[in-house]
Amino acid sequence: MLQKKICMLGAYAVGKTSLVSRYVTSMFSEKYLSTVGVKIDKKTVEYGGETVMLMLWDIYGEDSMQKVQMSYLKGASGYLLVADATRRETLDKAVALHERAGEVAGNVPFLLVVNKSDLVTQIEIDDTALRPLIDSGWTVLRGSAKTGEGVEEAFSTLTGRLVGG
Amino acid sequence: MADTPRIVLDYLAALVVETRSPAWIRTDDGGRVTGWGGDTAAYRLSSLAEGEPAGLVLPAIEGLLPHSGGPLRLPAVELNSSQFVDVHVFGESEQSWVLLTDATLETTQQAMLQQRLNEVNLVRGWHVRAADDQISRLDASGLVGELPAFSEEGERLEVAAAQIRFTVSLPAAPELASDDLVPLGRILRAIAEAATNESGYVTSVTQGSLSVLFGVLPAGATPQTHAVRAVLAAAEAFRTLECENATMAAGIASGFVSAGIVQVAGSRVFLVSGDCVRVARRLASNAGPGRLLMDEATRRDAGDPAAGSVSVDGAFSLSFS
Ligand SMILES: Nc1nc2c(ncn2[C@@H]2O[C@H](COP(=O)(O)OP(=O)(O)O)[C@@H](O)[C@H]2O)c(=O)[nH]1
Ligand SMILES: [Mg+2]
Repeated sequence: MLQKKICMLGAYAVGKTSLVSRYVTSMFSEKYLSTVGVKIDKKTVEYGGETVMLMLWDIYGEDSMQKVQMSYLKGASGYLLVADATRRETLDKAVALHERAGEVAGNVPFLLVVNKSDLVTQIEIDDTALRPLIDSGWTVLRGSAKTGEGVEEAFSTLTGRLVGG
Repeated sequence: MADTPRIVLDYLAALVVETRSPAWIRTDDGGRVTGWGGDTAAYRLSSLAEGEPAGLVLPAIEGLLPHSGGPLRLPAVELNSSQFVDVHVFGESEQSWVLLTDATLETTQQAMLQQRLNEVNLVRGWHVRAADDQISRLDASGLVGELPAFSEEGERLEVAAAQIRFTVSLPAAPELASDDLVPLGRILRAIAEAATNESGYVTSVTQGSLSVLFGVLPAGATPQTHAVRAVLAAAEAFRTLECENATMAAGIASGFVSAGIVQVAGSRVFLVSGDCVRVARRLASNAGPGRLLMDEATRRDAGDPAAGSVSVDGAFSLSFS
């Protein structure tokens, strides 16, 4: 069986843990429990007739006190950048993390999930903000760990890139 | 460590064994287990067996073996529920070593601090946004956000309550254009930012004033010091905005308040009650333009009385009641 390591990267409280738990256990909680260190979840999926075991590395979010240790990215096949649609600064953080991640993980597939799309009245990351990234070749998806919108699609799109090459 | 005597090194090794439950796994050039030892039982590595791919034994090292280059350290990997382990990988490609040391204690402690810090930062962000939001809707009701549960129960807190008042001359309602509100929004945002930078907790925002509590969120200095600094910073920001016909005044009062989070119609609301909130409001309304009035307790606990003589470029001076 193929095994693929995928890291979740983003600022704190953007919904990395929530996306993983929505994807792996179909559950969502409103309560915020900040992640320390890293927690690895597994999910087995079928992709193009192949069974792939995804190892999802839910890494603590970067905050003002601590930077994310890039050693966690060693051996990653890809990563999911996460931003919080209601906090503009989390997009800048995602871009900065992407640059640092590239130094360790190399040129591996990634995509950006702009999470919390359900909070429609509070959106701060609009299409104009995403345009330059999309133009430079990024795959960007809007989604919500709360409603489940875009979650399956985000992980399967990334898996496709890892498996399909 | 070359100058460290053997006895000290032995002691260090014993200390690590005693407090960190070290366990090791040795692997071959294909990342398969060739041996193990130490306190492997502490980590419940059930599938530990000769010839087994090490990544199956410990998912954290999947894809990392065989190892080459300098040692790799993965701090605070959550293993079984709420057990944290530092994973160290080193050696050469023919033979790699994986060392596990328990990190549950410090990770759990760090978790508490980090949780609180992140919540505080989220709240700060909401305040600044809410200030913008309130003004754009010209809504004078109190600031009610979706607060995190950093204080489920009621608490008695010693705080400094600050009331910052400002006036901007606006055209009468019929002629009021949305552009006229821009300076108002700027002022409000500048004050909210000054307050939150000093760990102030904004409890209400109206068109003409902000109420801020110091001592609710963790901060380095006394609540009174932060309150005075926040007012000075707000005054400075206010001056830099150079709004015509705008004035600002403030009041600070100290004392105990009861604070707690209650559930109101499905949303959580942070409630504070105490005399000093009222006193601060009264002081602010008695303070003339460009003045800060504070009560005796605030003045005493604000520390360096020099603060009392600070005058922000003539535009804002302090006086004591
Ligand atoms: N409304 C909404 N809230 C979300 C969503 N995803 C996460 N949250 C909330 O945001 C907070 C932080 O989520 P978490 O997954 O812990 O973020 P992390 O720090 O990036 O792992 C929690 O209170 C979640 O309930 C979402 O899609 N919509
Ligand atoms: Mg998390």
